[in-house]
Amino acid sequence: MRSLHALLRALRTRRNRHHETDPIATTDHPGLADLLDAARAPATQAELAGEKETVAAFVAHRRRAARSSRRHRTKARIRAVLVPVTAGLALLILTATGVAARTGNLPQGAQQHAHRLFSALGVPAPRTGNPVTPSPAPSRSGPRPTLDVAALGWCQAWSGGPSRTLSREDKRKLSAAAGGEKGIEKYCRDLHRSASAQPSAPTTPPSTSPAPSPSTSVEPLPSVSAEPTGTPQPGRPAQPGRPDQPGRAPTAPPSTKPPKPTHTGKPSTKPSKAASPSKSRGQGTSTKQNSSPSPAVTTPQNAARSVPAEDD
Amino acid sequence: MPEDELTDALRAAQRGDAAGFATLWRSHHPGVLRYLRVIAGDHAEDAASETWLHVIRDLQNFQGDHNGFRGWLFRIARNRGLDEQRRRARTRETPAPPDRTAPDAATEAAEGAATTWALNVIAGLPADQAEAVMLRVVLGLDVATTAGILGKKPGAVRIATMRGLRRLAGHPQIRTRQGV
Repeated sequence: MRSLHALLRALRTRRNRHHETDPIATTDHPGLADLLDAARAPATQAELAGEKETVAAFVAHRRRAARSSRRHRTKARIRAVLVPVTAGLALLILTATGVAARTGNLPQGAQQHAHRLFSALGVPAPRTGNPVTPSPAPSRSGPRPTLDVAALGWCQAWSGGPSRTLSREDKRKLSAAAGGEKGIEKYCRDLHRSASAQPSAPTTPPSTSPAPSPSTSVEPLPSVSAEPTGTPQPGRPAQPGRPDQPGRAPTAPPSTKPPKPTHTGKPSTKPSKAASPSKSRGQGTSTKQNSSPSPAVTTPQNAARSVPAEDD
Repeated sequence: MPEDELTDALRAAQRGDAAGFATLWRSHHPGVLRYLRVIAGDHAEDAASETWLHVIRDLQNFQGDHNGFRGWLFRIARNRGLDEQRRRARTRETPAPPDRTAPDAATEAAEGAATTWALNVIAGLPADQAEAVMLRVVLGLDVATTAGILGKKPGAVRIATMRGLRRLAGHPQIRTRQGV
């Protein structure tokens, strides 16, 4: 009991002195000290038996974690590349479409749609097509004549005599256009040729057409139609004129077919019904077949019908 | 082992070094196992391996020095030990109480047997006192860390430790050894 009091006193004083010192010093009690020493004894072999297994588990877990993290990292890297690229592409496409819509260069349907949606933003209606194509043409041909005219002026000034009436700057421009001072002569010659050809181009249609007309295919067309000698066309108009020859036309087409059945005698029913009134007179040879019940029956009916008709 | 070395070992283990982890394990596993003997009895081995698996899994995310690591380690061990205890209570495979009554101290001479006897005596204390004595006195954790592990206030930890020691001093087997 005395020792317990000593222990408690020691605990109390230690706590007052400093808080966190080792409580080992508390064990004035020898039995308690033994007990705590036994509990704190160094590790036995049995206690440390499982080291290999635990370390193996640690290594395996680390390997697995590294693999999964690597996979995760590559995924993240792919994402880090893909996201900005797709965003940039989308932005580019949107901007391009917007610019095209603003300048009216979209296809007509799309431009119409954009105009309907964003006319407030200044998206123009689609052009009808005519203004689009001619506008670049004059604009292209516009500057060229001016340059040519200027160059032509220089050339004339240059070729007018080596008197150098050209200003120095003009000469520099001319040599630049000709690709060197030596090429100026050739350039001017080409320029003259093209300049003489160009103005003639618009005027040629009226002027050239009369001259080469005999050789070209323009005249043959009226000439062929005027002359009646052509075989394909006259064939049709000639047919109406042929009825003047009466003998051939009636004989040839109808006569050839009917006689054949009459000679054979077999196809009696068909020709008899169809051509009985017309052929009965001229073809006396087929009397028996004509006198078969069918014409006999028909004749009274026809007679009966004809009688009231005549009465009416 | 000095604190600095263990802190180095902790950093190495966090980088994935197996040797560093082995150092940590060798220096802490006996303490964990003995603490779990007091808490979970015969299931201490299972609870200890579960504790270390948990440590392996979360070591990378742990932040702090070696002292903090000890607190973290024993908090995990306590949770695993209490889980084991609860499972044992549910399955009702309660180990025989005779295991807890310490064998005669005089007959225990072999290495480890004294430790087992001492742990059994400490395990005979009320649970809160046994834990406080183990963590504070046997394993040498400071009051704040022990209070954090047990989820108590530091004053409660001090009282529990004092009462536990007083009760141990009054234990018949220790009283008999007093004169030895």
